[in-house]
Amino acid sequence: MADANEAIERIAPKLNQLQKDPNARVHYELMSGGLVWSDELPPWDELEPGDSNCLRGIWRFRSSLILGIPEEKHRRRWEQGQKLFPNWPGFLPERQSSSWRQQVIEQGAKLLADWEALDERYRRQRLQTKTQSAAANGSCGGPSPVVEGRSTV
Amino acid sequence: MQIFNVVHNDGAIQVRIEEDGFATLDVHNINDDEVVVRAINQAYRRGARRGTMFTRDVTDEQIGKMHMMRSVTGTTWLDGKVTYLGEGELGPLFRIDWDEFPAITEG
Repeated sequence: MADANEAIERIAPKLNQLQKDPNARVHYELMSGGLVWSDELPPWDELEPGDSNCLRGIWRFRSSLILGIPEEKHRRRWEQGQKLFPNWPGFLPERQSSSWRQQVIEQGAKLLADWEALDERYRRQRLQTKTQSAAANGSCGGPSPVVEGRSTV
Repeated sequence: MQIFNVVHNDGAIQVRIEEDGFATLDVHNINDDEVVVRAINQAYRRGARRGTMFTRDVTDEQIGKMHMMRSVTGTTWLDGKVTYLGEGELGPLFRIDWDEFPAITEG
């Protein structure tokens, strides 16, 4: 795996060429803990794993600016980015505005809750499958045709 | 080997599946849980039977704490074992391992 420094230097020219999309969509990204606009990355098929991850510190720092509590541990990455790709849409001042504060808080909380809820949903699914499997075995006296833990997907 | 990106809601996960059914999921961006469901289910449909998902550096403290709690207590996520891999340049790194690859009911 390439380290973050290598990755950020490799993709810097691509990031610097990106143009602001007036119709860009904005999402809270779970692993970075930051808002990410849809025009801040090249298409996924042009990226290697690790290419977008090296921006996590930058996205997180920007969200900390939005929240009014800068996370200093990510400032160096933010400043490195500003030097390497100063024209990146992600550095637009309006994307650092405190007007995004509520979105950071609410979408962050929702995504975190959804992450846990997905696990709970899967536990229920597994339990249901086991119950059905046991019932089928009991009524037919033979092995269930359902593979344990597998639902139609 | 199959390699493909699962993209949803501007988020993406890269999936690699070896001939022996081992899948490696490499998280690009996660903007909702649906991209995870789709990546796992597509991998399963294409033959994944065990595998690993790598988070890479986690800079969100909350999700980092939740992964850490799971790794320390042995609490699984989607029946996968969560392991703390150490501190990366930007934050903690985790992997989630499945001996039996999950398939999630959609909808």
